[in-house]
Amino acid sequence: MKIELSIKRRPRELPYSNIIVPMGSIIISLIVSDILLVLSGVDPMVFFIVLADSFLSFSSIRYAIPLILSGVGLAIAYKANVWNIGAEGQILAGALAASGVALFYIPPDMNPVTAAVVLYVIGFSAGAGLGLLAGILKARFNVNEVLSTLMLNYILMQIVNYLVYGPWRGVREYGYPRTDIFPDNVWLPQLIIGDMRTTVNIPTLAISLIIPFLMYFLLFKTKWGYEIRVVGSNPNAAEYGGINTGKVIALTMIISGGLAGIAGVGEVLGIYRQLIRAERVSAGFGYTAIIVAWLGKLNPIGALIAGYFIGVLVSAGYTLQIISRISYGAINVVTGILLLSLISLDFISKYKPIVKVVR
Amino acid sequence: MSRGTTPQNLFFNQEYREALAYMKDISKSFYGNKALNNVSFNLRKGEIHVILGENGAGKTTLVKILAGLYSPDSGEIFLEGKKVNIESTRDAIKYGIAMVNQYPQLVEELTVADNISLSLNNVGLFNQTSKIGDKIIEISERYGFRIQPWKEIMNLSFSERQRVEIIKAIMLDAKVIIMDEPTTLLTTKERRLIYQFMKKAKADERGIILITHKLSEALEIADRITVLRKGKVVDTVDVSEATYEKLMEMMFGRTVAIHEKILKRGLGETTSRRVLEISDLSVKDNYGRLAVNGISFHIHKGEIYGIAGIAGNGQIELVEALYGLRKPVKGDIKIMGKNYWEYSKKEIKRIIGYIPDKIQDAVVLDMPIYENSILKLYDTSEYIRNRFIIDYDRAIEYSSQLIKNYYIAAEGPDVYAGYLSGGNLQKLVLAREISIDPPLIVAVNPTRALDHFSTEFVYETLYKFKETGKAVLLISEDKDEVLRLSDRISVMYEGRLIEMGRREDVDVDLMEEYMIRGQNED
Repeated sequence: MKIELSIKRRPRELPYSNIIVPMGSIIISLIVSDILLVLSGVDPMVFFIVLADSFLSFSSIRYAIPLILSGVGLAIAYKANVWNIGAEGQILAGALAASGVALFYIPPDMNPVTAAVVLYVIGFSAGAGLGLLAGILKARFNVNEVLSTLMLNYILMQIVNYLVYGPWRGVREYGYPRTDIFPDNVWLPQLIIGDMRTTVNIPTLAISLIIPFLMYFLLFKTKWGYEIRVVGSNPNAAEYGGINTGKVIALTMIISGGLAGIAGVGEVLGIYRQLIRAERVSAGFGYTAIIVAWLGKLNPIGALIAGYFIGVLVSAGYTLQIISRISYGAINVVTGILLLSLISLDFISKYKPIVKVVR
Repeated sequence: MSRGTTPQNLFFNQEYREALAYMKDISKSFYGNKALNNVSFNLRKGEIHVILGENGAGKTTLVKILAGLYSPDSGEIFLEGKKVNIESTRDAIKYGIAMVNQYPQLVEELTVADNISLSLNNVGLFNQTSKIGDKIIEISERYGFRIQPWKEIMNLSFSERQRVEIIKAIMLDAKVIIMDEPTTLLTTKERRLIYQFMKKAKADERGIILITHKLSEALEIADRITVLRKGKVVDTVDVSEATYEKLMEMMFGRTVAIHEKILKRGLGETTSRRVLEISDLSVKDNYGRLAVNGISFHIHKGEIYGIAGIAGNGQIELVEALYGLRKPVKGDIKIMGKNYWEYSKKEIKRIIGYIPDKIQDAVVLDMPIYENSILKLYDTSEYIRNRFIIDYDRAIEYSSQLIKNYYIAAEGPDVYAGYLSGGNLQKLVLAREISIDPPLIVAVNPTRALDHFSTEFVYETLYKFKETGKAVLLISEDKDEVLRLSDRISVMYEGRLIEMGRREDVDVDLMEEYMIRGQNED
């Protein structure tokens, strides 16, 4: 007796797979994760209570902001078949550039609005520049962007850490590896409800709510979006139609890098008010954003919703750590299983697996 | 009358006991469209059964179900009276059903023997290609083909590749051999060999299903003919009862008279103005070999220039260089009297309407028809509003026109290109390219995936296009197509062009010799 496994491409994706695949993978990942938590001695309901609680918390919004910004950017790049996994480094580039300018170039009497605009532009450009570097390497020399963007993450990490441990280390920080607090005219205002301060900074929140719609418009209504989608779906047809593929690669790397850069600006100016160790600035958002992009089915508005959901998961992870003494890493299990089930369900919606027992 | 003796049941019982393969009441829908609607079909031992039908009639769908490539929505399949469940190609092979693809799917880098042993499931862990080699020679001699088992696939001609697939079917000891339009790309001699094979296989008690759109072929080789129209069986007839006219009427539901119309028209007037002028052009292929070797020709306004040749003689490299997808190593191209480099890359795409050999390279399958219809014009003032916003309403309107005027079988402009059949994709690209109204159309095998009617339609369209004073470069593996449409003809062989002269002067036998050997044997 032997078991035969084969697959067959479905003539069309399963109906409603656009909704069923993300929803199904969320449900699967939550159930599997809960089982794992129960096995490590947590009450089965705790996970769901914490999760429900996180759905309406400012902490979730705080984490959702960088995830949405980077996730939307990655969705644009992935739509063009450009596999940018360097959002982590691009967040750091934005944070680094904004911090440097905030510390050394913004005069203390500059109008806060002007300062914010200048710093967002600087952060965007830094992230975009880093993205463009990988984009040019791909378009000109056919360097695989997965490798180049991934390696740039480590380079940026080392640069940031070199600066906060070395030349930029703050004089009023008791020797901690971080810069001095920025002058308060560059602080991005945080949301205050009644007398409760939240870690949600208003301008970056506003940007992260507008950008998905803007990018949706770009992708589905403009000629650039058309080019991005043609290049992503069929590079031969793009060439055939006279679309400059190199330009499209560069454009998507600029957008995805730039949006991650803005996320980095929001982190340092809106939350920490100083540049801290790289591992804490980007905090894995750049990698988690990959899941955001896929969970949102590479649709910018989908990424907005997915970004919020993953924000909830991240926030729930921290709460879980506090109340059940489970390490924060447990939440990475959830997102990991989420990505796995997402890919598997997506596969099943496109292919039909056939299992047969032959005697 | 009791149930068992109704004429219908009697027919059913008898047919399915006799049948080698019996497909009963097969239905299959794609996205709500019924591709097959209660189709029953039976194949006897030792017969050649032709399936005839227009494009989209469902003939390929039907055999793909038998070959395990599609699963039917409803219906049953019996093999020698036993009900079977065919869910994959592996099942089909197990039951002795093999399909010879129109475009053989083989691994280029491996030898003939390797390719065949790959598909023999029971070869075990160790490579037994040496044993297979002897078997291949034995089979190829028995069926009258010559094939060397140790040659790599990439060095084989199209018809040799097809023979590999046929030998594979025999090695699998297939009782049912499905042949999907096997003779489309063959010369008369090669076609004879295929017919000879089918007759021998028939004598071995195998059953052959032959899909074709050539009525003459059906009448020549078939024992029985089943005609499909719009997913239904019109009838199954014995070849003795069939005539050309009768089959035409069965296929189309009406008699057709446009068949010979084009030939009777006059030849294109030649004017002095040259639309395309190529001199001493050399182009390399992907492996760095010289695929086009110093060729020169020109095309006038109002002229169709036909280049006939078997695939792989440099035609693709030539048109890719012409369309700006490949850099020539030497030579000049002039279009409308201007040097090639005076045009931008985008301009070239718009002054040359290009229907490529691989039609999938000219469309985006996961985009709707209306987005595909603007692939070349999406950033021109016609479709751009406010500097960068695409006017999709206009694209939808435009593509609805294309669908209507070019008889593209699609429910509407928002159907995804991926859901169109090969023939309809071909028509979509033709429609788009012609409606841009370029001075030059380059068409490579423009009717390969098309049925009789659509082929005539494409010929008409290209002809009308030329008559408006435009130029057409027709590149085709089908010499009849070249002979029928072109004003001047040449043959491409191993990167060189052999001028055959004006159509009325062409010696057809000589042309065929040149296509196969590049020279005259006598």
